[in-house]
Amino acid sequence: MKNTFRDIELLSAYLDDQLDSSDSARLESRIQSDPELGAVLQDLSNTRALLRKLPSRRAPRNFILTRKMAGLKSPLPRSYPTFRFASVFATFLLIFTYATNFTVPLVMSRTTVVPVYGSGGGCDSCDTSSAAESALAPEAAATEAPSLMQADSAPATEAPSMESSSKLGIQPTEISPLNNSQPAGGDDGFVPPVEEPAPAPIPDTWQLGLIIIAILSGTIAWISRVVADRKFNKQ
Amino acid sequence: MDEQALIQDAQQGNLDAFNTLILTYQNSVFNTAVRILGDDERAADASQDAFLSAFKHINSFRGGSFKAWLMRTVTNACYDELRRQKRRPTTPLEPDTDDGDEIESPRWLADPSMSPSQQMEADELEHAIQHCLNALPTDFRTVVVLADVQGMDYSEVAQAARVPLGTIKSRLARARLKLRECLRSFEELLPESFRLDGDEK
Repeated sequence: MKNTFRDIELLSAYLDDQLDSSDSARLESRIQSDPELGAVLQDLSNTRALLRKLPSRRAPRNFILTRKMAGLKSPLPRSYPTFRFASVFATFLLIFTYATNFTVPLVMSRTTVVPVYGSGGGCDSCDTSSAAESALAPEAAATEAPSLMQADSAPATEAPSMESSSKLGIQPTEISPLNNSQPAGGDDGFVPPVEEPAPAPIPDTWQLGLIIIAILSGTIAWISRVVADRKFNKQ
Repeated sequence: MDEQALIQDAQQGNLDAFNTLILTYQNSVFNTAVRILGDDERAADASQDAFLSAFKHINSFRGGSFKAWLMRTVTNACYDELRRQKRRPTTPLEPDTDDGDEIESPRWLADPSMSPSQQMEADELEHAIQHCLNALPTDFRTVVVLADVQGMDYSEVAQAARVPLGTIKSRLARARLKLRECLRSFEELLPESFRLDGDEK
């Protein structure tokens, strides 16, 4: 009688005492009547015994875990958060002081510097300056009322100031020398604005102090952390 | 200190308690890994990975057999190693000689308590059994290693392999059958009392 895989499965379980009493009794009676089944049982038993006799291999090394391997971090030193906060806060303050010292003088100079033109009267340049003003006036008029200019000719929109100034008998070339001569002619009544650097609202010594605080407290925080880590990993 | 207390301490992050558990089980874990993988170095790597993973996931242990839970971890580590092995070129089980040839009978496994001839026979038999284990499908090999090499009972094997008890019975029977067939080809190495005299002979 050929043994089926179900028989092998039963024999294997029987070998390990995994059958209930009724199944065991039934199988035992079959084994007694079927020598082939008994031989298979013996083979399975020998195979299991061979496996159980395999020498137990010792671990080649200890597998104990270090704190680093386990990813455990050292507890923070008590002073660490204080120094870290001091470093970060001083850095923010430092950035703020630089921003303040950069922006405040700019704003102050814009509000205080007033260009001074034509403070003196009865000069030769009065004609030219009035001419310049009159030259600018039609241009402004042209931009204010373009419909009038466009009624005469379409290209008028392209160069209204030239056309209007020529109509008024003012050469545009007279304006450019005037513009060029203005900065040089102190005697002509033009006073260039005097830009005095506004004093920085936050003194340099404060900034220096903040830099020192930021670096020192950051360094102390880092050192305390490193020392704590080393102590922790040595344990 | 009892095992349960050590496990509880380890679950609270006590690495020293977990290391005590490692020292208790490292030989079993390594032995399982070496029988599944068939290679000492890979088995050592898998064992280390298994212990690391076990520590990280120790809070998932909800009671029962700690050994079975640990064996499940090492089995998973071995499966990962086998997957990696498939992607990489394999290295032989035996170390190479100076000429680059494989050592047929590995002296590096020598037990000093045996005579040279006994050692050679034992080495060859162990080598033959390991060869037959390696020839088994991984799932079958795991079950037979846990049940027959480690001597775990069916419920522990089921817990470690995460398969139902019925599947364990079936796989174990198939694995023993296949091993029996394989070991027939090494009949001359088998001790007299272990000669296989099955129905096919």
